Amino acid sequence: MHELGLIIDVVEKVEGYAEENGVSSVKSVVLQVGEAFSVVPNLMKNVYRKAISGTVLEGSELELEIIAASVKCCMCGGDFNPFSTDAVCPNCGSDEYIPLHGKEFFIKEIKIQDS
Amino acid sequence: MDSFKVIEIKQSVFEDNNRDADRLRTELKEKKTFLLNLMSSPGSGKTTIIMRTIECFEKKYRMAVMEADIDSDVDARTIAQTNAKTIQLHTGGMCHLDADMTRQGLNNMGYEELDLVILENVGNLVCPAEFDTGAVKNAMILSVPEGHDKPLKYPLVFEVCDALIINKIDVLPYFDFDMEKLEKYAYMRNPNLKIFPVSAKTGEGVKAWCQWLAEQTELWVK
Repeated sequence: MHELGLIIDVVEKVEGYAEENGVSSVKSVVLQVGEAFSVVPNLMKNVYRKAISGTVLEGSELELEIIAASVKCCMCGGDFNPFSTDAVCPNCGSDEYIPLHGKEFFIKEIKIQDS
Repeated sequence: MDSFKVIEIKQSVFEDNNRDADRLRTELKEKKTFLLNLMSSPGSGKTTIIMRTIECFEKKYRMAVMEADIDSDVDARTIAQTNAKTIQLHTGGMCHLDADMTRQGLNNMGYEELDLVILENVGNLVCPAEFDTGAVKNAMILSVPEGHDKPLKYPLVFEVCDALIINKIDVLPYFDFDMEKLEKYAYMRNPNLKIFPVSAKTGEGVKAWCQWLAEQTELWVK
C-alpha cells in the first residue's frame, strides 16, 4: 500500500546523490528488500516507472534483491527461514525465535554511465 | 558501446525518518510532553479507549488527542466532547503517519502546555508499525472479535509496541478467543509487552491501563 511513498523516498535519495556527485543519468537502482518486509515487489516496480518520470533516473531499471528471512531458534540456537517451516524450528520443533534477517529495505547500489 | 560503473550506496530508506523521530523525541523531552502512538485495526475501539483514558486523567494531566484518518473528522468530533484538546490530521490517502507529519500536527495544535498527547494512528495493523512517529511509547489495541492469532499474522506491530490492550473482553463468552494463546503468541513476538485486558464499554481493566500510562508519563516529564 505504501510502495509509492517508499519509492519516492528512494528516488529522492538517488536524486540527492546524483546532484552532489554530478551524475546526469542513472541506468539502474538496486534495492535490497527483506522477505519479511511488507511491500509487494511487482507493485514497487510499477510505481517506480511512474515515480522516475522527469528525474535523473528516467529510463532506469529498478532491481530488487530479496534477502531471505532468517531467525535464530531460542531453544537450540539453529538458524532457519520461518516462511519455509511455518515458523517452527526444523531442528527441535520450538516456535520461539529471534529475528535475524528479512526486514531490510536498503538502497544497495546504483549503476551510472562511466564517463 | 556505453560502459557503466556501479556506485555502492548502502543506505536505509528509513534513515531520515528514524533521525527525524529521534529529534522529535528530544523536543518532546525538552517541552516535558509525553506522546503515545496508539495503533490498531479499524473498529477495535481506539477512540473509545481514548475517551476512557481522558476520563481517568481529567484532573491529573493537560491532555490532547491527534486523530489521524484518511478522511472525515468523525473521531475528532467525538473527542471534542471532552476537555481534551483535539486536532484531526488527514493523511491524504497515506496508510500511516511518519515523524514529519506528527511534528506538523503537534506544531499546528501547539503542545508546550500539554503533559500527555495521544496520537490515534490510522486504523491499520501493517503500515503504521513500519514508521517511527517520534512517540515516546507505542501501544496497540487488539479486540476480542479479531481473534487471538493476530500476533502470528502481523508480527511487526506487536514487536514495536510497549503495551497491548485487549479490548471488548465483555464479549469473550461469544467468541472463540483464547486469552492464553493470545498471551503466548504476543510474548513470542515481544517478551517485554505489557498486556491489559479491558472493556472500554464497561470500564473493566481501564484503571490498570491508565496506571501504566501515568507511570510512563511521570518518568518522561520529570
